[in-house]
Parts: sequence; C-alpha cells; structure tokens
Amino acid sequence: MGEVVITGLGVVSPLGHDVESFWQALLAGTARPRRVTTAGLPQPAPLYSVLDHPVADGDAGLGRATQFALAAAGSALRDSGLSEASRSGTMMVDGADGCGLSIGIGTGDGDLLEARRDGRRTDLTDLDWWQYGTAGTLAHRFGLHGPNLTVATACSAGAYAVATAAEAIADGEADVMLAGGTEGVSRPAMAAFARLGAGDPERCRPFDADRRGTVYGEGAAVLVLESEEHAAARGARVHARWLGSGWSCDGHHPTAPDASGEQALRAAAAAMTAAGCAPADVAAVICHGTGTPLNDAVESRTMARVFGDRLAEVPMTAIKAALGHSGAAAGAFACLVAGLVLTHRQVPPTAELDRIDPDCALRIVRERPAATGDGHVLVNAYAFGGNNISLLLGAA
Amino acid sequence: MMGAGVCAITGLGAVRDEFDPAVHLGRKGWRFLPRATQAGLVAAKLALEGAASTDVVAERVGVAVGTNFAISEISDEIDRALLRGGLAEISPMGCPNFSINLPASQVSMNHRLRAFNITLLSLLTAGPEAILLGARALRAGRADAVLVGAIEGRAEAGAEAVCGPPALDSGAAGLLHLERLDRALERGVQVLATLHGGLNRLLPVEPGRRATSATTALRQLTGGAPGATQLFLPAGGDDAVETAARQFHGDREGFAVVRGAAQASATSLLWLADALARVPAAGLVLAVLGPQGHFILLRFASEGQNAGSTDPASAEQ
Amino acid sequence: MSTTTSQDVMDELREMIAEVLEEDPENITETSLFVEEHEADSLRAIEILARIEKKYKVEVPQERLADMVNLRAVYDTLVEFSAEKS
Repeated sequence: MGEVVITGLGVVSPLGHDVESFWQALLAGTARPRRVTTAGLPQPAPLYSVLDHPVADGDAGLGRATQFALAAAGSALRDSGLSEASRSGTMMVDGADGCGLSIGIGTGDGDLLEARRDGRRTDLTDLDWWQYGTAGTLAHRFGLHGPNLTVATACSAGAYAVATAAEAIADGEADVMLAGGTEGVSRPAMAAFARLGAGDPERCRPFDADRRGTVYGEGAAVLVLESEEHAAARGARVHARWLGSGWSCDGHHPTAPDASGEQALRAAAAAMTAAGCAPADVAAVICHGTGTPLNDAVESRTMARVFGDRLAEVPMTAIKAALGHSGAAAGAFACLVAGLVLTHRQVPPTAELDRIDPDCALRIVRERPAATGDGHVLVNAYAFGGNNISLLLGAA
Repeated sequence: MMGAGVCAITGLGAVRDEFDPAVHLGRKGWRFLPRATQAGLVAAKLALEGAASTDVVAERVGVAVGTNFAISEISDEIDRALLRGGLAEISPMGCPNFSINLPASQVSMNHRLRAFNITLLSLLTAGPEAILLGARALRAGRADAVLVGAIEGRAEAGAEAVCGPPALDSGAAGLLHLERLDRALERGVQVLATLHGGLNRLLPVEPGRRATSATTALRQLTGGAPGATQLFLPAGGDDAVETAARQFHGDREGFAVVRGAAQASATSLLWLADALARVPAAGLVLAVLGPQGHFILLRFASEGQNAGSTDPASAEQ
Repeated sequence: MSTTTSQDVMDELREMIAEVLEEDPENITETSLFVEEHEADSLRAIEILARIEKKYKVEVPQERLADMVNLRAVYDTLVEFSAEKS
C-alpha cells in the first residue's frame, strides 16, 4: 500500500474563496451568519452563506454546488502545481487515466429543480434535471479520467470522499485524486430541518451550554491527494500526509445519534489502528461539533473515552461555529483545516463560544488560536443516518 | 486494475415494483418509509436470509448502496408542500427522507449492520460502483460481509432521455451479499458466483479517445476475452464504447448490449441477480456506462471456477 | 355550535395516534405510554403533534412534546390550546 500526501487545497466558503483569507478568518474567530427568508418558512432563519463566489463565463446556468466545486477544485489544482505543469497549459491535468476524483454530495444542484418547481427556470436542458452530476462535470472540466465517485453519506460525505480518494491511490488505482465536498443551500432541506425542530434560531454554537441545534452553511472544500511517489517525482510541496480512517455505522435511528457513542468510538479506534498510532500521538482534534444538543454531548463523551487522562491536553475545535453545517462539504472542510493546522501548528478557536456546556468537558479552543505540539490531527465526521468516520492526518 | 480479492456472492435479493412489504417486513415499521426504501429493506432481508447470515456478526456487516432516484419523489413532495402551504403542510415523518443516505441507513438500522454504510450516486452506474466499493472494503478488513447493490425510486422528470421509457413505477432494489470466498467455504454456505475484480473510470468525450479508454480498461480488467460480456448503455446508446466492447469480446457468442436503464442504477443489479446462476466457465464481464461517462467494469466467475488458472493477467496486485 | 363531544374528540385522537404509531386503536388506552408501551420515538411524537395542529387548527409549542406521553395528556393539551385560541 502506497503512502498518500496532500498537495493542494482550495475553498469556496462563507469566510472567503481563497485558502489564506479563509484561514486568517478562522484564526480570528470570525463568523458571519446571515438571516435569510425562505419561501414558505415562517421566519427568517440563520444561514452561513457563500457570497460572490467566482463563476466562470458559461457556468452561470449551473447549480451552485457545482459552481462552488469547480472554483474550489480549480484553486486546489493551481495550489498543487498540477494544472500549471500540464502540457496543454490549461486546467486539464496530464495523465488522464491516472487522475480521478471523489466528491461528497448532499443535495447537489437541487437549486435547479427548486427553480423548475417554482417557475423561475423553464430552460433546463440536457442533464440539468440530474442534481448529483458535480463529479462528472469536474472530471470533464479538468480532464480527470481515473476513478470517479460521488459519495453521499450526508453530513460525513466530504470526509468519506477524502478517505475513498486516499484508498484509491493507496490501492494503486490512481496517482492523483481530487477529493472534497460541496453543498449549496437547499429549500426542502431547510424545510425538513425546520419541521423537525433541529435548527438553532440564532447561530451554530457547538459545545455551548445554550445550543439549540445546527444551522445550515454552504460552500466547497477540495483537496488534491497524490501518491508520495508521484508528488516527489515532480517536486510538489506537501501540505500534510494521509494516515488512515476508521468507518462505522450507528444503525440506530434516522436522525438521532446513538447516545451510547459505541460506533463513534469504534470509528476513532479503527482510525488509529489504520494510522498505526495511539491517542498519545494526537495533537489536536477537528470535531464534528454541530451545535445539536445530542451530537455535541455524544462526541464529547466519545473523545473523553478516547483520550482518557490526556483529555485536557488535546486542543479541540468546532469549525461549524464559523462555517455553519455545510452538509456534504463539512467533512472536507474539516480535512482541509486539519491540513492547515499541521502546516501552521495552530488550532483555530471555536467562534463566538459564550459558555461551554459543563457536560462537554473537552479542551475547546476559544477566543484565540492555540499552539499544538508535534503530532497528528484527528478529524471526526458523523451523519444523519449514522454514517461515522474518523480520520488522521500527519505532518508532511 | 483493482483486484477485489476473490469475493463470493452468497445471497441476493431482487425486488421490483410489485411487492407487498407486509409479507417480508411484518406488520409495522415500514409504512412511513418511501417505496424505494421499502424495496431496499425487502431486498436486504432476502439477501441476508439467502446467505444464512445469522452466522455472521451483524456489527461486522457493511452496506454499500448506489442510488439515483430513491428520494426524488419525497424531496419533490416536501418542496411542493412548502410552496403550497408552508411548514404545516409537511409531514414530519417524511422529513428525514430528504437525505439520500437514508434508504441505505434504514437497511443498517433494521438489521443492525454496523461495519459501515455508504451511499453512492453516479448516474446509472452507482449500483455496480457500490459492488466494487463493498468488495474493496471487504478486502481491507473493514467488514466480514457486505450488502451491496442499488435501491431505486421513481425517476425525475427528464430522466427518460437516459433511462429510456419509465418502467419503474415506484421502487426497485437489487442487493448482493458478498463475503470473502474462504469464509464462505468455511461457513459451508452456497456460493452463487465469485467476483474477481473491477474498475472505475470516467471516459473522455471524444469518440476515438473514448473507445481507446474503454479498451484499455477492459484489458486491465482481464487479459483474455471473457465467456460473456454484458454491456449496459444509456438509452441513446454509445457507438464508441459498444464497438470497443464488442471487439474486445471477439467475434463469437456471449456478447449482449442493453440500451436504457428503466430502473436507473438498479437495472444492472436486477439483471445480475438473474444472471448469476448462468455465469459461464470463462467468466462474465459486466460493463455499465453512464451518460456522464462513468464506466464500471466487474469480472465474475462461476462458483466452481478459479479464474486465475485460465487467465494469467487477472492475478491480483 | 359544535356537537362534538369530548368522547368523540378522544376517539378521533386515539385513531390518529394509532395510525402514527401503527397500532390497533384498541391498544391505545388513555394512560398507555407512547414511548414505553408503543415504541414511539421523537419523530413519531412530532408527527402526532403536527396532525393535531393541522386537524384542530391549534398551535402547540414543541416544548410541550415531552409532556404528551399518553392519550390523556394529548387530549388535555389540545383542550388547553383550543381554549387559548377561542
């Protein structure tokens, strides 16, 4: 099995559409939820929106999720040097069959179907009715003809996309894989959440004593994963190293996590086994931290069981406080932030955290960034429907 | 080429439109689920029973499912209800089903299958992709057995262009129970067929390059021509891929092509469920092409056949 | 003026709840507990509330869900919020 490294990062996010601005805003504890009015919903609800994202000429008719993914993927490929290095000098990547992609998708380009239903769009043609086509569009745009996966494990899809991409490379199926996730605001999804009473009326407040639920966010995060060999041969700069992942499924309830946390614990343990490391080797955690009373409580207990006596030493952060819950993109944002944590050895604070829930006895970073020691970064992602994943990234 | 490790297919469940959930799922627990999910649950039960899965620890069974349209109807309903009358028009029980991973998750919930659970979405090819992903996860030791295949619902308006005339009324599902061959033999359970490898590619648009890529992929999958090649294409066909596949198969019997997929990502699975009993001695290649260029290849052998002995290029990596 | 008796309403509620819980109406007594005796979960509780609100044109805050543990409690809640409405 080959070693896998991360050589490119790209984002489209509520905090900005380039990695540097995004990272600085995260470190500063920035959060910019807006209040939006949605047709049919009783009152304005908070939303962590993407504003003024880059859209190429000719892409204006595409769904927003695909637009975000195209921009983030383009940034990631430029960051990796692969697109500049391509012989054609375009965005197309050389080595057609050896480069693929795995993308996490939630509601996809459902905005086009919403517009068809309410009459705003009457011009849908070709495959416009196919709301999950982002991965195909990306592949043709960048000339990627290797393995192509659209992973739909809801709130953990972005992380599963990164994991399946890494495995494709480790198995020798590809030299390079784009990996990430994208999510645009979805009216039926907002309605379903509102109907279930699963939303916080103010903002996303993971681990806060007064948290009331999660809040939608949008955006895309894309990473370039590459075999170490391929990266070394072209002298690529490496952000971080992929170490492994652990998978599990609650098999418990459509919307509520299993309060016992057994499967979440198993995923974390399996990730460490895959990475060949122990809890003592972990320097920081990017939590799933959604702001729902249940998730944050269960995740806290799970992390307490993983780290035991060391719990107070391991800085943990919840980026949904700054980004909202971007569904299928969330896990990819978490992987991207883990990569940045490893490069900069700083853990961003959990934005706007008023009062930590005493039941969430974690060392949550707040107000200002925390320095990390040497060591790996653990990422957790859980989902509506119980699809759990934990994964580990290490320093370059 | 991705060697899947040799996997045994030890159970299957194929469900299409005409089924009564009560017969398989009991008195309660399914009425509020979309029809597609009900189909998935019935197929799962049949596959697990066929595999005598009570011998297998449920926590060590994973689920990998492809779908295209399992939640199209319910999403449409929720959005239209919202536009019509606001939140009060929406039934809360239906709400979790806006999330496309729920059909597969329900399978895990009903049977406590907790190794992992993944939903894939590529248009028309997600079912075979799920077989490949599940087989890979088995080989990586993430599970001792996997339920893999497709769960489908009624397609979105416009889908006839790629699926063909809609034949799917409300729900269909095709699921296979896969486990490592050595474990199946140990358990003494019947092996329906074996899976020896597979490939996942995204073909270029230009016909010349497309044909070359398809041929390269077939060669990577298996050095020798198979006993049977079953090719699934979108409704409009694909001359480049069909020609390449025909040439690879050779000028003899055993080549068949189906244009259109009335049950979307489940069409090839439903065909496979019937065909497993007839896998020829020289093996079967299942090739599925989607309208965006997704190209999935799977290589099967009959239960009594060790493909490695007749086919040196198929050796696992 | 409505000729619906409180027994009529109780029976209507029983039917509605039985449908959501997939039970025979006879099995739902005024005091049998939805969660402990009829396998209800949070989702079904929200559905029961939604159907009551729609049928009787009342608005009940979601916080009251925790109190609505059996048919009697549901009936009393409905009476309370119907009175508030009128």
